[in-house]
Amino acid sequence: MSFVVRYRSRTSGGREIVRSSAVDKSELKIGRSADSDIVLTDLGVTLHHATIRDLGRNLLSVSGEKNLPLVVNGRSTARADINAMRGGSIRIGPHRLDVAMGAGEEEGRIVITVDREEGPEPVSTRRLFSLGRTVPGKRVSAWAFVALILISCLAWPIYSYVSNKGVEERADIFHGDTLWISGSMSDAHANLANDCQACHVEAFVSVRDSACLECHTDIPDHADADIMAQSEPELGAGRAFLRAVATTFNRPERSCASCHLEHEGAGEMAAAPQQFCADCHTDLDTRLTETEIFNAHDFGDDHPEFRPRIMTRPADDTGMARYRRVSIEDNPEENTGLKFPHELHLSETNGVARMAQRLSADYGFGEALACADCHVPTPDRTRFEPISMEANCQMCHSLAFDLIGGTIRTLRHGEPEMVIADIRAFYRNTAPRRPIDLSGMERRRPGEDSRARTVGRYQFAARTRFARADDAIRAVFSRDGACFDCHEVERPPIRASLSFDIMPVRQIARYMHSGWFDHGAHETEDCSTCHEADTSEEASDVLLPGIATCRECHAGGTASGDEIVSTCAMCHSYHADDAAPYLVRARNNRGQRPRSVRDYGSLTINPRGDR
Amino acid sequence: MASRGADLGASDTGVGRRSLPTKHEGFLGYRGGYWGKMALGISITLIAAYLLIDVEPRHNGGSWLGYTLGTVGVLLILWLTMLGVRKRAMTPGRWSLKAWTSAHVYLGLSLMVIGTLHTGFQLGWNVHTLAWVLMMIVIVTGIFGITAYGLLPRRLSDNRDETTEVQMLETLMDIDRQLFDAAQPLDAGPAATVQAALDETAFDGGIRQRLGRRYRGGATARALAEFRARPQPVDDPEDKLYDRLEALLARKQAALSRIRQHLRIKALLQIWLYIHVPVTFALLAALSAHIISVFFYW
Repeated sequence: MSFVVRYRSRTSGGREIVRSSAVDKSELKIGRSADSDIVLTDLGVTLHHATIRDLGRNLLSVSGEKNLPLVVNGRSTARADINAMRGGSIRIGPHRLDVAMGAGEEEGRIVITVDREEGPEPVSTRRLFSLGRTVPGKRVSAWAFVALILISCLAWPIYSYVSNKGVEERADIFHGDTLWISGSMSDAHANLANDCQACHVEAFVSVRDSACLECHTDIPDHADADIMAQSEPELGAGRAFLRAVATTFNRPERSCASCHLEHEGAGEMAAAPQQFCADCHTDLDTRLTETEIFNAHDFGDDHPEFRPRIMTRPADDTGMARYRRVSIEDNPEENTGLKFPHELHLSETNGVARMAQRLSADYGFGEALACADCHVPTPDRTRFEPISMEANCQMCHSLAFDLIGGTIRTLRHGEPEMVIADIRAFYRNTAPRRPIDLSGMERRRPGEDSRARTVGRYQFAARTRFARADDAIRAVFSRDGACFDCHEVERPPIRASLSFDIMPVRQIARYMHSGWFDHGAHETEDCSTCHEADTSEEASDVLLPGIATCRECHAGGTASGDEIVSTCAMCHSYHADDAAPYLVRARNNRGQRPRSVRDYGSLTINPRGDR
Repeated sequence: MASRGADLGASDTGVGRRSLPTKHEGFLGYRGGYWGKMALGISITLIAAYLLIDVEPRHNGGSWLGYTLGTVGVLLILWLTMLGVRKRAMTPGRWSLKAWTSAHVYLGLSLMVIGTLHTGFQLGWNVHTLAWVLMMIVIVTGIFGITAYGLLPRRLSDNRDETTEVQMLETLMDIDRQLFDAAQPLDAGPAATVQAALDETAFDGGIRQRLGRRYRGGATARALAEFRARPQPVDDPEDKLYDRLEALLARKQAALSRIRQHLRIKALLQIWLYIHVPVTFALLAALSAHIISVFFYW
């Protein structure tokens, strides 16, 4: 077997130059030395680098000297076999030796073609194999992202702000700065979601109260600012630090937004936490020494006994009612001007109950009177309508005094002078009952004397009948009289006078003026759970429950078991207006109760103006 | 670099750490997972604080806890980004790049907790949530990258079979050269077929093809199928030529599929960085917009 060795090179014009030489050996030395059979002129090749041996049957073996590495068919090795029929290539340094079978006149020989060519550049190879050619470069996409985000999420919103500055109402289009919204607006402010500047007026200045007061014009403040400042406790280290930070960043203290946090999700704005109240009202008297407000910090643990405002006189000399706040513990007595024993009216066994049974068909009473027979809730179900003579008393306590042609005449309720006049008129215009012995069918003792005496007495009676009115008037205003039963009668200053008068009656619709109690929310309970009316014998009894009764169900800020979490805002309103406290309003607005919030303030549940 | 990370998950067992200082310790197991424990501790502490601290009415980025988490988060993000600068300066010891990388990975994972707690789980269609989403994308691609670095180098190595990329390319060039030489006697038809096979490279196609497992209809595969389907007359003088061509085409096909497999694994190893890095910069932009907007409309 012999080899043909071809050296192939190229001119600068690209033309191929091939030099062939036949080598009749079974072993070829490859190396840089001149006596090699295949001379590779490159300093990277050793003098004797490798050897090719003919193994017969077109099979060659290639081995590097002293384990010098070769690359055979793309694999780095020290030794390899090549089938010349299948061909193969050996790389040594920059040289490539292609092995193939000869053809034509070289038929039967193994041709080894030697090329000198530079392999692929490692750096460019690395680039070729990297992903960088296929996907956009990191730098390019980073810049693109940065530009995109800065333009859309920073420049555009700022443009929206600047272009809408000073505009009364924004156009109803998409504004870039709504991308900055940090959470859904509460229901009340949902209409402002597209108008950031309604509240965020100045850039880099936190929301000021002036923005809130634009719309909320008549919000009463909690107390005078200096008193509130005085009542604040010493801050702990943590909160002092937070305050220092807030002050540094020009964030106002005690602003609307300190309690009313917006962007906390749709729905009602959350109530201020109890801590806001408790901060000042815990040990308040140590800082506000003059205050009449008792300390409190949690309904369950630290809250004074209720001090309802009690009426001590329905009318003084000037006709004004007198009130006093008295603790329930001190067994307060009130004077509404009315006599009304609840026990008598709620009894199931006395005449009242019998009367109720008799009138049940007309008035819907049961076996005895119940609370609801007289006490009718107001439309908002928070409190009760005042009791009226006409609606609640008159069916039993009749003021009838005359019957004319089937019509019952009654005394005028509420107008004592008219009562007196009506009684007088009654006695002046009516004759005494005609004695039986003056009628046509009389039976009488024989003799004219008797008849004449009767006539004389009757005539005297008829002549003096008007004077009987005085007695009747006195009777009606005195013990067992129609007025006296229920009312305080003011006797005339002179005994002979008949100028009786009635002490005015005032009913209290609301005892708790600093707190709020909603009867509607407690409809699951019987009245008697809290009000001990069925044992109250005097109208002066104040039938309000004490705090202990409330605490059976209501816990403070933290509750266990079935207890109800009851924070300050359940009963108390921070802004001292007449409306229901925040939690009550929030619940009402969820549709569990009559909707209108504002009605709480102006309800006509108290026509006489007593609150 | 990819091929170096094959055993990054390996760590020293406690025994003989000092006596075998040369044993490789990957960045995940650096100092017995010191930064991992640190990150876990930070995360648990913050979750506990989040649960125990009562922010009314609900947790949000504007409470003191929220501002604290946000500040910590943004400082952490800036520091994590500094790995790109830091990795270009290798230093040994406690302040080694390995330590830095270990901290980068574990503190980056804890950022998932810090950032999410900072949101108070209040997410919406706004710039603030955009920043959170970008942050999560960066972290998730990071997790993908770690996983890829842990699993793929072995497969890459198996596929390479001790050839380098340069050698793979040389092999392809050699085969192409031989194919070109061998195909000279062919008629126009088969010559065109071989030319198409010669023109085929492993580097065409887009990212889908790079990452995809299948490669449809290469010209080499078609040529090989065509020549194999050729009727085989007995003692045809061209027989040997076609045998040789078939052998060369089969070799090219094998070389191509090795390169393609190599490219696929390498693409899987690299792709996460092409998201991780640009999205990091997107995150920095969104974070700037987030912080500026919060104080702009304060």
